[in-house]
Amino acid sequence: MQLPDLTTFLDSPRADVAALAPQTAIVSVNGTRRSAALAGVTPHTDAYAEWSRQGMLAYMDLLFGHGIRNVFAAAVIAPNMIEFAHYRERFLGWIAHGLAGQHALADYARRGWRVRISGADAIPELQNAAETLVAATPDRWEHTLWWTVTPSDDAPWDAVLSAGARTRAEAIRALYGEDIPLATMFISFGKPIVIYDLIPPLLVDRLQCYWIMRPGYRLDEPMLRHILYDYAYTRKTGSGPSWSERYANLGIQRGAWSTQAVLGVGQRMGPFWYPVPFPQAEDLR
Amino acid sequence: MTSDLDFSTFLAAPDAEVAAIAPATAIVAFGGTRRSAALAGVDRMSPAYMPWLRAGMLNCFDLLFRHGVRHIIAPLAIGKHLAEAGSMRAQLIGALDWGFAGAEALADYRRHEWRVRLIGTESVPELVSTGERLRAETTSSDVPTLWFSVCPDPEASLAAVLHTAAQSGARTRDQAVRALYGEAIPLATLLLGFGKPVFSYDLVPPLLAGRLQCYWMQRPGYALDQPMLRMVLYDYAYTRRTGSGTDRGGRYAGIGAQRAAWETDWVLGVGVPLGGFWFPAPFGGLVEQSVELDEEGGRG
Repeated sequence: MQLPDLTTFLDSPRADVAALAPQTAIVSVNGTRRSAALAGVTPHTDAYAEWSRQGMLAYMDLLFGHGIRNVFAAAVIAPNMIEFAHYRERFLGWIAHGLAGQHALADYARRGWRVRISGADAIPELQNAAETLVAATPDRWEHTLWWTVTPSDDAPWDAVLSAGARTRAEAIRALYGEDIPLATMFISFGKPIVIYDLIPPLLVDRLQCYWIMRPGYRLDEPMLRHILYDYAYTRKTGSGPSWSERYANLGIQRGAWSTQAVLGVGQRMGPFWYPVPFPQAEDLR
Repeated sequence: MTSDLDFSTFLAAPDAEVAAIAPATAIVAFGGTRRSAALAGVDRMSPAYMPWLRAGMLNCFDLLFRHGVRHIIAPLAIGKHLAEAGSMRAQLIGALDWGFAGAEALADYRRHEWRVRLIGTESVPELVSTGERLRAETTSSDVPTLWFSVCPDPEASLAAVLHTAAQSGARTRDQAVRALYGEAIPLATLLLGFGKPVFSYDLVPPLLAGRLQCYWMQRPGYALDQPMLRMVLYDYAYTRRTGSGTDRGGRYAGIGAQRAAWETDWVLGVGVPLGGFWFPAPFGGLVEQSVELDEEGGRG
């Protein structure tokens, strides 16, 4: 099978792309302070909050607009609770306002999104926000934004195991109150790290993972489409050339399959991690 | 944080020194063994295949253990392999049993002083006796442990966790790990995979994934060598520790000079087709900055 042309795919109508997007994706947006610094926005100011809100809305619009129906995004992870331990009340108040304040509710309503907070049982300060979002559920909705909040490293598994469920489907219903299609895509930022603060353990299917290097909410449409093309086509290697063809031509690819380059290895760039260059297959002959 | 060792010194350091920074538990999910055999000119259907494969595997695991890893979790057979039925399946089961728990394999484990376990057999009953043999024959304590896993599909792995929790009453991850594996196992913090960046419960036993630093090599089979492993461990131990010991406010002072780097549209995980296989899309990086970083010894 010949892969569809990438250029055509990049220009195709959103509805065509949506047909092959995952139903559920997990995203992790990091580097927001870095992104703010690049944009000349001072963190922890009102302007920063508004700028972040607009970025988040555009980011989720992009994902939902390309056919993803459930997006899971971490709003609080265990390291946050350590970093902000001395300001817990203020930090969680800021989170509650950001996720379920008046502006947020109006934004969600305008877009027709259903929004939930998952994990609030373990963070009492966020329970009101979670209830507010349930109360604000639109009459009709196609997209659900699931904010996840995780107070400790152990919390995700403690929640799963405490549910007392015997099957994954039962456990999902116990924790989330409904059936949810399993996630098959993970989009994150920076260093390739997988932790259960970011990927809810019950929702993991075969996760195709991607890490962008743009901090904050700066995923744009061409980048997302490249990811979706890879997800839907390039990674489906079993459907390409026949078995015998694939192995018959292996010799000329010897250089590529002998490379010492490893995805995930980086270098220091100032105080940050940044990937080292990765060679082109044709240069590895 | 500034690393204690520069990259060149680290590459040449004694194994014991590197071992001090290695993870206690690593998940080693190599793949592409057919590709590797084809490249090496080894016929998969020949008697030479399994000894060749086993020798590569032993070298690879020995390398990891010598570098301080105490527990290796290594998928032996996953869905696509175990989906075979009839005589093909029987042949596979026989090859796994002989290859990884036969007399020669057991002799290898004794020589290396490894303890070896097979997990996931609740979903592959034909291999229960294989697991029992490994348990009976490799009994040393306080030695490196190789945890082979078998998993017919990712669902089976999670089903085993939930079933065990229900049976044992485990309500925490620690309790569930002990109930499922019979002992406490440090959570894995390193995932060394092959090819496409994928996270899946047939490769990663759900309960054992800690804060997983992930790496994917592109050499098929058990072709990890020492320089590659050290490159990974240097990144794991030093280059990725960017958050600690650094004044947060000061981190952003020079960011304007890095603007181009943070505006790249390259995505780690997007690939290009290569003769019917997936291969990472090339990344040019930032040549000028890379040169500066190399000169500072900051490369990992």
